[in-house]
Amino acid sequence: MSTHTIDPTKWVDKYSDYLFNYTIVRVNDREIANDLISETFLAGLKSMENFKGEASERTWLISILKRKIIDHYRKMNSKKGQAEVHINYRDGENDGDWLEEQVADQFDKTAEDDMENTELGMAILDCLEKINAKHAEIFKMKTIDGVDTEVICKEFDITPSNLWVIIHRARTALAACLEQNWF
Amino acid sequence: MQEEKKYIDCDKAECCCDKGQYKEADKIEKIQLLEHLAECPRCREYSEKNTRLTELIEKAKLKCCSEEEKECWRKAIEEELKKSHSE
Repeated sequence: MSTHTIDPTKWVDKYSDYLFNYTIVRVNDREIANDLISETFLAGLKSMENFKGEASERTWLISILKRKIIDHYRKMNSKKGQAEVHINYRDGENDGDWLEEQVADQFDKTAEDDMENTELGMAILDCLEKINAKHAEIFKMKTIDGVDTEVICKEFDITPSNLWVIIHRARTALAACLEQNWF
Repeated sequence: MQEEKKYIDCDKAECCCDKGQYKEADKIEKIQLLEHLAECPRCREYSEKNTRLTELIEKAKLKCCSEEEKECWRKAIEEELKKSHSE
């Protein structure tokens, strides 16, 4: 039985930040991430008829995006033959440096941290989707984008007191939502 | 000059604590909060959680799309929907 509905007019407001964070950690380039998200939305529109409603809209969009990201790397790999290899080790005293760099393998730890941070980021966005949309938007502007209180108040036509009440509610809801896995 | 109220209630303390997370609490609010926290275990717990939440948000290094980027996607979706309706 289908339980989820589809409404493309709300995709950008509801899912763009989630899709963006999902993509940027995988491609590490803002422009490419934007292109992949555009392609995902357009592919989603074209295959809307195939949406059975068994998964949520967001899960369905992520599955399309995953394929887009894989395609992106496939295309990149097909160009690999044209790549140049740069070696910057010099002769003389520094000859042995490369060996030490190989031994001190920093990658695993960094990769592990990055994965955990990504997972945390997605959990935060997931929790924000569950709260009042306007509160979530104000919270993101203030906390993630660092927009000035005055600017947000003007844009939403609210007083600073209103803003702090909204921020308080969003923070309380977010902490409660994250509590089980992250606190 | 009107004298600042020395003791604040829990609602005001939580508000000062929230402002503090964004470095927007002024000197008086910081003092009022510290005085309140010294006496109130419930708000101390809130303050600890709030600080932990800020740490988690910073650690996640979240990014948001700009309004221009969002507008661009909205337009593309709108145009595509119009096209499919007219076909």
